[in-house]
Amino acid sequence: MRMITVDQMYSELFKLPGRNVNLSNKQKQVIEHSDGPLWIIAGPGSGKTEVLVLRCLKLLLVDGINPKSIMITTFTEKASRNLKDRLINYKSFLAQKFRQLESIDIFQLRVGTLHGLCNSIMTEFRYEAYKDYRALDDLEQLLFIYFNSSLVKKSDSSSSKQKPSDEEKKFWRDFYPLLEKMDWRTRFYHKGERLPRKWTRARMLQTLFNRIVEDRIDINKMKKGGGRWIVLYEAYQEYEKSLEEHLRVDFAHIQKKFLEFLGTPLGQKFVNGDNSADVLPLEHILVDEYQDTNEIQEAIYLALGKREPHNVCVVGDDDQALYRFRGGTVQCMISFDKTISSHLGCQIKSISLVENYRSHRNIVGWCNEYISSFKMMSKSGSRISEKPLLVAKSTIDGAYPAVSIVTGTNQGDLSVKFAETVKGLKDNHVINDVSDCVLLMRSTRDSKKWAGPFMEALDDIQIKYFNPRSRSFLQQEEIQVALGTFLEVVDPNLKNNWRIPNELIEKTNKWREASRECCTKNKDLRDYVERSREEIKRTKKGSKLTSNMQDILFHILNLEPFAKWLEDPGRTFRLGHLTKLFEAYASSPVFGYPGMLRGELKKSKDFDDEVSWNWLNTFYNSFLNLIIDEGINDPEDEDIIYPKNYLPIMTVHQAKGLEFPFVFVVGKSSEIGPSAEHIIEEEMNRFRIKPTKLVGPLDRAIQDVIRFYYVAYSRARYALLLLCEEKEINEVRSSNIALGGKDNGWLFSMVKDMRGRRVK
Amino acid sequence: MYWNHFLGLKINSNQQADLLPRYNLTNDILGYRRCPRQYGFFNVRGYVPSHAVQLFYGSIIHQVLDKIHYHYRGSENSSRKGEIPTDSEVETYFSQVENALRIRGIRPFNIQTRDKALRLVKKFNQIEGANLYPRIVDTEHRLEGRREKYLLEGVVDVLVGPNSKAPETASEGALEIWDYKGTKFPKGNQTDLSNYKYQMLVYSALYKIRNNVYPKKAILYFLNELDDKKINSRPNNAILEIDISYKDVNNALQEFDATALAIQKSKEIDKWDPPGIKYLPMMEDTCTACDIKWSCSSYVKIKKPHMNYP
Repeated sequence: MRMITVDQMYSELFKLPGRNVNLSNKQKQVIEHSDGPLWIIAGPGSGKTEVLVLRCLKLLLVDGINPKSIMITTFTEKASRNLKDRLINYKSFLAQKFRQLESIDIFQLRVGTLHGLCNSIMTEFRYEAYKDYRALDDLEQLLFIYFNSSLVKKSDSSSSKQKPSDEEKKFWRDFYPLLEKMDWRTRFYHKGERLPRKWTRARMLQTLFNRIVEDRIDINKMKKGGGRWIVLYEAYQEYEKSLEEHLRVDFAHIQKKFLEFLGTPLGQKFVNGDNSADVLPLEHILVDEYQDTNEIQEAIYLALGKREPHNVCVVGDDDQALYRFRGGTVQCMISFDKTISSHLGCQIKSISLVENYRSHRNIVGWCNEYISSFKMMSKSGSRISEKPLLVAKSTIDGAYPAVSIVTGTNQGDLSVKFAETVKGLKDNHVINDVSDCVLLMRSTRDSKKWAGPFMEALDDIQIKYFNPRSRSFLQQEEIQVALGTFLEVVDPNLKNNWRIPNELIEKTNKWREASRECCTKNKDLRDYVERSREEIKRTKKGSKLTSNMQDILFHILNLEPFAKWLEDPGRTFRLGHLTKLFEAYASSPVFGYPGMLRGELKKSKDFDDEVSWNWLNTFYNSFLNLIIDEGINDPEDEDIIYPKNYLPIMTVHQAKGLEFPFVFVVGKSSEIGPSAEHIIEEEMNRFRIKPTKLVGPLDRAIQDVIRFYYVAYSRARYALLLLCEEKEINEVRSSNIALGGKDNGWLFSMVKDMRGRRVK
Repeated sequence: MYWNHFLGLKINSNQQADLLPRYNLTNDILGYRRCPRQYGFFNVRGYVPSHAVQLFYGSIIHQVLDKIHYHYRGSENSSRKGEIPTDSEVETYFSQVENALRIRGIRPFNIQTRDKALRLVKKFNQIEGANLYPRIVDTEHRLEGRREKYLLEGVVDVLVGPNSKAPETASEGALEIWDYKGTKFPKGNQTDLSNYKYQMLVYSALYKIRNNVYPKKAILYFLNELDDKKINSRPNNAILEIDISYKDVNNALQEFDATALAIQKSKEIDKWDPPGIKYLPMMEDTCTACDIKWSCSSYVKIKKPHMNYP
């Protein structure tokens, strides 16, 4: 087929509305690179994803590579959708002009997250060892471990039949510092050497199991570590065995299986093709967001790229690594050149994209100074060595203070000034809509310390904002009333309260009260509760109810006040999430009863007006405890859609990959200590197949905060406004990481200078 | 007054390339046309339905038929190329798909639904195997097209050639597009019928983009018409042939363009209206299994549905 030339591609795409920017020589080098491994170090606003997309199109449309021979991956579902959208849009735009491109089926491209692609490839190739598995997402994996691990099942209460062994007790004792970081209540529970709470144990095991796979731990080496490592070894073996038994697979294990698949003749057929038109060789691997990759993914990319001339192209920025808590290891990006030469025995071409097309030059200047103001970032293994500075190339210009500080005497005062600034920008038509601004902070919780005062100040001035994660899920009115009403229906009398911890009863009583109060105002809801109770009474003892737990929830959601709440952006987002949680629980297998579903309800065998206590018992102690403690605290959910006309309040994870005209960043000093991830990474490093060089856990924790602010600052296009309390700046040598390291005098003079410009 | 610094600054809200939204012809366009409210809750806002009933039936029928076609082409086992699978082989394929769906959490509403699906694919295999299978050129044939405001994607179930000798060599204008529906012929239901027709006409338009000609025929196959023990040949009602004329195709495209715009607008303001009251009586299937019908203003007005307890 006749292809197009690369210049035809450039000049035609230039005509696409919103895309009329000329590519730099460096960008063209990436796009036109012919063969061999390629390492692209790309700063914020350098158009890295765009360049990767164009490189992919060039391979397809200029070089005529078959779409099935190209794999392009990224870190999150959201980013992979974005890649797909761009590729398909550009290709279809080009095909309008160059009709011969119509017949190229771009849907055959392998685009997605790595675990998603691993799953579809193994299915496509009908890999025997991966037939009919059900993938578990994070929450389902946690439920699986909770219901299945004998370490979690054990109880040290006096009536327990399954008491922990001495080794097991020691296991939890040894991991105590980590458990404490995961759940502050551990401190109280642990007194007198009690076992930690079940969900805390399950969460801990989940983290450890995932680490074992993702860091490529040699479990036999780990076993030789003795003591608690033997207990972990056994627990992991047990976990893998039950995954197999129940045909379940977690995301980490999908990748593990895929790596094994690549070692089989079938996997080799996928990589090398079979000399027929049906199975073509994999010729190019393109990876975005490489800074967030982990050891097992790196191993997969190396295995995929083994075929000469090793067309593995990775793009990333070590300074923007944000996903350590999901197993990301920035080290893979930092030392990719060495990895390639040692594993594939060839030299890598490296290209740095330093031109920033996003931000005003002062913002670019600030970002440059900021990241290099910390001596600890120059420690070996912390950053790519001799990394060049960003160069401002945006057309945004002007003598206004593009980087400035808004200060307040206290948090309340600061919030008012922030809200007034947004209002002033809107009223004076500097911005078109409040969604041209964003407020970024380390936690968007509605608490005094974090988002609370800012939300209040915006309310006072009648600016709408969107902060769906502002409170913990269970503090939200609609969630409490929904769960309270559900309990009022299935467990009206709380007869078995002796089986439920007091703390849980107190909480659920609060929800029930909220529900009853709602019922007094909403007749339909009240009727529903009453008639449902009667219906349950009428049902024959021991037989199945006509509705499952998801049905009951939906019946409730159809009645006022929910019917109204379904149309409120924040509430409907959370209620939708509740239906998802119900489904995850309802579909988790019941061990020992294949085919049985947890969502089905049975009438009690002994009592007239209630659901079987066995079901209730599990519902309280498992499901409710889970959503109280653990599973739903996912502030890093990057899939939230932010509506227009609302000012978004976000964490940096949600803002990743986005940009805003006006960015407000709350800079606040707070105590930084290593998290459980930092410590586990350290402790298990020695068991890795390939141990890596790590700086200490505290240093890594601080580096993560530095990267957090770096990503936040580099989201701004026209203006970056730091929000700081007065006292934080007065101590020029303060420990506020937001204001830069102590090692750069210039940065501090800049901060001082900005204060000088401040209008009182 | 911090904002004072920025007076006179004129910002440009968006500097990203304008990407067109992508819509799937059946999931998005037909889904929204069927009911914007249901589409909004379950496809956009992330609500998870209490039973994935509709999903089970359609998915299992399509996937089993695909396996049957795969079998006939010899892709499963090349030595059996050109053989129609036996009933017991159909059953095996059925349980494979069923298992795969089950692990994805997609289950039949009840055992009757499952048995009916199995009955139908077996019947289809008996009735159509000898004549239809040899004519099949391609299955799950993907099509795409660029409209002014959006990109449209779709998958045609089968491409069918004119005769059984060598369908692959048929000229492009001689091929037919067939789409399987897990329903009865929508007698008296003009909404569903015209939506199906639009769908086939738009497929034809997309087909033309890729092949420069319209397909020779566009055919809808209503599998539920086979659900009768006495039947041993294709009943008249099972297929509907859609006339493809430039005018009709254009009309259908305009209808879909309007739907795409409506989806976009709904997304922007996150508002998903219930279907118009006059369409409701024809939406029996869509509404019966809907989890949010009791709070649907249109449905409540017409049907006054009884709440289920509990």
